[in-house]
Amino acid sequence: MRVTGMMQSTQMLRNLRNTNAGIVNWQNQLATGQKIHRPGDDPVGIGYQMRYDTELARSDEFLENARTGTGWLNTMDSNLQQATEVLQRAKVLTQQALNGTTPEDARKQVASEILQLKEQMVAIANSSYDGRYMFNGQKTDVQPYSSATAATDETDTGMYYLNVSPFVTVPVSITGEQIFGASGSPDNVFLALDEIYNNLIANDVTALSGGLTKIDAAADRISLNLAEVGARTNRFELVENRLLDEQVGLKQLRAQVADVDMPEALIQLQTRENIMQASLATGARIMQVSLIDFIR
Amino acid sequence: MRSTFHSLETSKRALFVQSTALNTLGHNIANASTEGYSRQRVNMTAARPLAFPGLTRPNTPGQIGQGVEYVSVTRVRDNYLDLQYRRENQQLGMWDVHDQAIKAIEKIVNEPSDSGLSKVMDKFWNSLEVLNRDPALLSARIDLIGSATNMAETLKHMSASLDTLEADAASNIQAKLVQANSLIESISQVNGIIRRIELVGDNANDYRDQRDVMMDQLSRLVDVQFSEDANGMMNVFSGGAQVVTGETPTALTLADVDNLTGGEIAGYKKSVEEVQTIRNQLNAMMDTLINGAVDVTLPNGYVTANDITAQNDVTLEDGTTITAGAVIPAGSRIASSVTITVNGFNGLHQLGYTMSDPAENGLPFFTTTDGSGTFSIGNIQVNPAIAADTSKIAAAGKYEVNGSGDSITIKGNGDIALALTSLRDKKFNFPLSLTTLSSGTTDDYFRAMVGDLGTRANNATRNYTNQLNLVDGVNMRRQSVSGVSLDEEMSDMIRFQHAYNAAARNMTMVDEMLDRVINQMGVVGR
Repeated sequence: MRVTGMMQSTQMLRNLRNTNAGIVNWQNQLATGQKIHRPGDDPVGIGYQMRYDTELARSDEFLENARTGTGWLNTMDSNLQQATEVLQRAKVLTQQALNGTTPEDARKQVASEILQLKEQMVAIANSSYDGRYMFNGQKTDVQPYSSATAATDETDTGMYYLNVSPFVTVPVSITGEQIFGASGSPDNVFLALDEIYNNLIANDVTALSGGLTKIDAAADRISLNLAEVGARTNRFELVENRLLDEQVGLKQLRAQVADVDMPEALIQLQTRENIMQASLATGARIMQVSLIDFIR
Repeated sequence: MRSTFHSLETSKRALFVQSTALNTLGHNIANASTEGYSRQRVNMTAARPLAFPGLTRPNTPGQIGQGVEYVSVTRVRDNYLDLQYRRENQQLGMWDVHDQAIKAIEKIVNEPSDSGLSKVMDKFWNSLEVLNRDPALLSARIDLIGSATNMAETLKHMSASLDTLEADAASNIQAKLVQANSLIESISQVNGIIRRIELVGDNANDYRDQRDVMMDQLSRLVDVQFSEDANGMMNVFSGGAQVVTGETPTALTLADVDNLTGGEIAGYKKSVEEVQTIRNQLNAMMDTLINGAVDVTLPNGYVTANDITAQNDVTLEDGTTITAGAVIPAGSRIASSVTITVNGFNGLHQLGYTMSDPAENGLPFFTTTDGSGTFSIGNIQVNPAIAADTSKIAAAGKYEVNGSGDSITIKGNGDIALALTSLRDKKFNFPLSLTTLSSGTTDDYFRAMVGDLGTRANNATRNYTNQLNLVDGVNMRRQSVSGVSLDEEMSDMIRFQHAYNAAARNMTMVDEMLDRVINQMGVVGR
């Protein structure tokens, strides 16, 4: 083959161009740690990378939902604990008052404490989380109970739900009437406290003893709801753990698709660097040589 | 009988021919780096010897040489390689432009990145999730409007960038047409020059080189087929039309662009198509998400504000059952799960109730800036009424009528917000007139779109690299045949120089012989 000077320089430039393109590519991968910089780098891989990124972002939101649920339920739990304590105190006081030796004016003192306990119970039933009333279903902007009419106040039956995965929705809220007793029903906790108060004022010991069973019934109901709250808390905690595990898995999968294999990239870059040095050295040597150097 | 001065003439011819060869050699060296230059050769031949039939035959044994002559100066060129070069070069021009354009589209689509559309849409869906977490929360509502506005603006920005790219490609077609037409005109002019030169028997070497360079340049811009006629003029066809007929050029017009099958102009035409494909795909995605019919289930019931029909049998709070397809009158309080067909995101949002008292039905969440009923990435915006008043976001699906007869939205109800988040996982049917991706979630659709773009980008890059290698290869072979090798010219130079010197020496020798005869002969005894 006849070789001309132009061919030598064309070929050398072409090879240098290719080697440089390779160096730039691997350098970019090493500098960013990412394999895919544009869709054309890996048309299939980019779909996976985008899916994992989306899933991770979504998972963060579900995690936030689960944490909100846990927070909400923890608040509900401590509220119900308080309610239980209030009822225990009411029971002890009522039992004291039931004692035949208790004088009438002492019963009146007990009555005023019962009144305070009822107020406390109303405050618990009106408690809120993040500015939302917890025990009024979906009417989170409406205070469910007022102390004057607590015994007959109705709460909303709507439920507060949270998503923990694309297709799984978990109920969070328990409506007030379910915890404190249906409006106006004999075992409504506010009605029971009202009755005890009235009976104490009226000094009606016989009727008072009936109040004791109602308090027990109310306390049982609250315990049941506490168990429900506990069960839901567990569920949210499980969800939280599952989401965290999933995120680890997703990050691993994403890394497999999108992250640069560092040793591979370093070796590739080094190889190309060597090739470039060799082609520069040979190119520079060969292109200098000419017949002109040897004839006089 | 030969002439006394025969040898002088022979030496003179040798001096002339060798110096011609040296001149041409100098021409070669001077043009060693000229683009498209083909090395030239002086074709020497021995002159007609004595005696030649027709000349008077002397009475001596014949065939005495009369020295050297040159018959022609020709360029060394392989026309078949030109054919190959131009065939590959037109494809190279096309794929080069196509590859550049699709890389620009990849930049506009901006995936994968932290600011690309998929991240922006993730944010949008996530803020719906936040709204569902606390439907009445002001910050959740502001977040939703912010992320929706951000999504609309990202799309608008993509739209504007795609428009610019398309306009650039279109104006480049114009510019390249002007360039091609100027080449076509020049080629026909050079055709005329070559015809006149070769008519008298010379070889128009340098003009032919010039024409070949212009043909190479033309083949980069448009597809070319060509043939040379008997007068040495090149006839050129492009896009099926004859653009050079001897000395007559025919300019290419915009109407011819659709017929071109190669060259940069065809590449720009393809780039425009690529931009349109991407824009159509994105338009189809947004219009379908916002307007496309989809079945939505509200698991916790719904309070109707208008007459609607459901896909399933529903039970009202008062115990009545309404069968699927029957009209559910306005104001019904549906207690069971209900499945309704709605027109996309907007349709679903319009089912909801705003935070205002009395309750109002939701407005279309997105509107078009140009009033069109079809959404595109260029005209999408968040309904200005909603953007101006966060309470207009209709997250609730229930209201109740209070004592004074007013409808009051149940603020903590997030049924519609929940349903809006579920749209993310709903399979939509995308219009086949705009996209080949028929059915899937919007997330899936966008990923498929990006993957599709990547495949086409890969294809363009691979084709471009292949063509580049082919053209480089042909060019190399062309250089091998036609290129100037300085080493070769140097050794020729020594050859011709020696021949020239020797001819001069020969002349001196003849001169001495004549000197002997004229001045020193017949002087014996002087």
